[in-house]
Amino acid sequence: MSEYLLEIGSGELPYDEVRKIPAALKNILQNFLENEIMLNEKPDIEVFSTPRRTFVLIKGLPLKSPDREVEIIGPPVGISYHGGVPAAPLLQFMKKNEISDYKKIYPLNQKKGVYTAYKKRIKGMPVRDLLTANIPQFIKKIPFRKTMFWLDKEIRYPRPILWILSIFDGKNAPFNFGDIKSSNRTYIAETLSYKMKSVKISGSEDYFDAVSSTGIILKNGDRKKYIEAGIKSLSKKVNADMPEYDDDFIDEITGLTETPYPIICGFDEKFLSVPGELLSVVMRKHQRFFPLSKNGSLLSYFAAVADVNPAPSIKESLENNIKSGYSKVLTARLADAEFFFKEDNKKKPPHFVEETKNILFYQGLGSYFEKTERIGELGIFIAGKLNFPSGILSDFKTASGLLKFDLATHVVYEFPEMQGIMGRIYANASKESPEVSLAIEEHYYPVSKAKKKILPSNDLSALCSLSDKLDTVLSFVMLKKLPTGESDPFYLRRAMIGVIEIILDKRYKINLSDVCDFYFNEFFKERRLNADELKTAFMNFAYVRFKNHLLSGGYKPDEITAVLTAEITGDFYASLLKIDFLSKFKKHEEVFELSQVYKRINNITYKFSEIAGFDENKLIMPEEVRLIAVFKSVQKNAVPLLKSGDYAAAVNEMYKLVHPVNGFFDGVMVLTEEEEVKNSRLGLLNSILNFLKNFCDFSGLDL
Amino acid sequence: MGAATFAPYTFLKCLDCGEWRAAYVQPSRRPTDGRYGQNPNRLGRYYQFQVVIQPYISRIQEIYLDSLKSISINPNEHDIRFVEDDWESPTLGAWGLGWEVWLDGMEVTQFTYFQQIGGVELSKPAIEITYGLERIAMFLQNKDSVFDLQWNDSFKYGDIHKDDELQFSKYSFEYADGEILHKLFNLYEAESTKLLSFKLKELVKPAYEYCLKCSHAFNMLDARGLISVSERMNFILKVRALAEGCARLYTGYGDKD
Repeated sequence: MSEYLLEIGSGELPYDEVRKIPAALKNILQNFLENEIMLNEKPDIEVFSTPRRTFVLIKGLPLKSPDREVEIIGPPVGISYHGGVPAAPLLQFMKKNEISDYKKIYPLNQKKGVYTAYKKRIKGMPVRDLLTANIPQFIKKIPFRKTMFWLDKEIRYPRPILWILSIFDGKNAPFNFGDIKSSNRTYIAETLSYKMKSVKISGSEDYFDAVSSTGIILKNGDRKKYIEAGIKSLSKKVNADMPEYDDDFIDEITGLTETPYPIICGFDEKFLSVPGELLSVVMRKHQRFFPLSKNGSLLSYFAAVADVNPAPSIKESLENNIKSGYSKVLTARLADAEFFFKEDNKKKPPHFVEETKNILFYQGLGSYFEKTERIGELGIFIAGKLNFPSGILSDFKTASGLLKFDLATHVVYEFPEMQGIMGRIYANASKESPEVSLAIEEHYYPVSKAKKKILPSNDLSALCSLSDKLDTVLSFVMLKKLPTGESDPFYLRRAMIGVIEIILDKRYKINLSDVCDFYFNEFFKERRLNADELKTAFMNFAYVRFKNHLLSGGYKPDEITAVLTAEITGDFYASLLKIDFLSKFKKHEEVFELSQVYKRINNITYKFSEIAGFDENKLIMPEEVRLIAVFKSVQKNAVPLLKSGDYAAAVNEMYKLVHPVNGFFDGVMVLTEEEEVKNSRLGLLNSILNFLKNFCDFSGLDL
Repeated sequence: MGAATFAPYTFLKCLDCGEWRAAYVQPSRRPTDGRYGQNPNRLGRYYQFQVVIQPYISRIQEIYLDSLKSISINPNEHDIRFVEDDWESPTLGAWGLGWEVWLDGMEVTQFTYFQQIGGVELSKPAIEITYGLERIAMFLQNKDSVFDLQWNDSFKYGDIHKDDELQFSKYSFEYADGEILHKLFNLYEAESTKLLSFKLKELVKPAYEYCLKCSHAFNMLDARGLISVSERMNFILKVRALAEGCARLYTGYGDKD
């Protein structure tokens, strides 16, 4: 069997492209070899990537692709024949495809009608030629995030391509890609030099030898493991815990190196007086260093990954250069952070609160100071609905005024990701209570940290977060700036999802429609808003997020729709309980029979647009009397159960209606001639239907 | 101006899309970066050494490393990295892909393949290499503070520039008058707009100069903390409209409209 080698050398690619290339390119090649040229045996395709090179190795290729048949479509049958022999359009098709015998053409049903078709035999071709002819298309097909051109507008890649190696069975298999002519040479660093030298390659083993001789680790996964192991053993050496990091962070470092070289450096201990969170952000974000700590407290060491492969003779001097360089550059960054931190410490939170009057939240929505005023009022309303104790209320009054003050501090201006965290630190330092300080940080929650989603840890933080996020969403509803399409410049979807996650996590029973009514009654009154229209927009926006949240939680569309079409108050926690109940008990007999009854009623009532209540005196048949009695008792028992959220008991109670309703249908003609009796019967049925809707629209369930 | 890219020798010249190879020192100002001369690494005014090459040449990364070697930074003895940095100037309507170059962790150069300037896609991308002179000098002279750099045998960087830093930080952060800056911005904008309205190619450079003044006034307002997130976008769009107007006038792009 044959082997094919492809290497694309380029200027350093962004790390997420490095990460993405192997799977994407493998997919493209696999599709071509297995589905397009139909190789009988699946070849073995491996793709490696570093910032400077993408390498493909295909093993197990035949020399020639097999002959194959392809169905080609000709003109529509209707215009193809004249008196049983081919007419002009078909003749043309035959000529073009070198078809001599028209009897081999057959009709084929297509979407647009019946067409002529022919099984064309395609001769096998040398795989080498097929590859070189198609590789340029494949390179263009890789779904990069961003590409550029350097000479030819049609030739794009994330950075300029510098060389391409293409070898089939040890021999040059050349093709052109824009300004690049492929060859059988790769480029690696010269020993003891940054200069690249070209090396002739004759096969995969030869290639791997050449590349690894310069310390390059070709495979992303291998580089990542190598780095992680290096960091681990180095951390141990300085008695630090293995650092925590997000996948993205380690992937970035993996994608930034070809010849990774983990190293430990230090910085001046005096910086440890600056909050550890801030130092860590500086290290991670600005320098891609791993902050090191022991038992949660930061050490004056950090781990880093250089991209070098030093010869033994210069190893020590190179290491010293790197250590001193890294420490120096970090010191400069830390000094900057320390400067801002010290500047901020000259002032107290009330000063910054005052400053937030000058920071606009958004055109037409006032300053951040005004935002916190709205948050304050809104939160008190929400706290009332949730029956929060007065302790939380008084803490909330303090906290709400402090939620945004850190936006006016130097540290947050320079390091926006420190918002909330600095607020907590500064508030703590000026003797605010731990709960209030924490709420300042946690009002930005839910957030994701080291692969986990974190929600506000207590009711005060949750209240702050809900009030802030709802103010944001509702104020942009007022401006009619809800996101459309992909983009969400004000992060409104994220805010709404945050609200939903908190409400469900904390099991808050609150009607978002009440919150909306309160909001537009209370704020922006001078603008003469169309509150109904805004409410519709808000509720739609909220429900769509809620539905998506439920779908991603594994609930079925019919369960969600059944509950939500009958629910208009925006009590998401109650809805969740109902949906959860349905997901567990949908297949049980009670639910099934209730849904049958529901449909039976609905089949009659939906034909009448207006149905009034019912007059008991007109309903005197025994089935009617029985149904009314049962209905009254069920209502009496089920309403408190629905209110308290005990849906299992409520549905059990509702189930008592099944037999009386069926009895009613069996014994009574609903649509009688007597108008008043008919109306009362319809009225009774409709009342039952409306009552059942308090749980859900049973007709929407897929049973 | 805010950076060497803003100079007409890059912004306008690259729009010619011919053979343009230039190198110049550009004193640049970034008022928000001022630190009263107290921070050894941050300056509100600093020097960039700008290299512009058009069209593309493929060996440019190696030539760049040669340039470091020629000022006695031997790339073999250091960790030199080309780290993704997609450069975009919303105010100039310009973007390109490229890197920041790290020398043992310190960013010493911005390296960009320009794709678009002033909203106009270049028919031949230009390579821009912007060296941070202070940082490179600190590296070479092994100084921890920019102000300790030996300017020549008799003067240090601090002797010449430390007081500038103090005075302009004080001004930008404390005394700059928001109302006046707003007025200046509007005046500059009006003058640039008026010059552009004549549609005379021989007025494009003055129009562009007023566009740069607008940009500076905007930077000053920003440093003073007088621009909110949302207002910022409006200012940027205003400056960008001027920059794009200049680019269109200069290239004759869209003349037929």
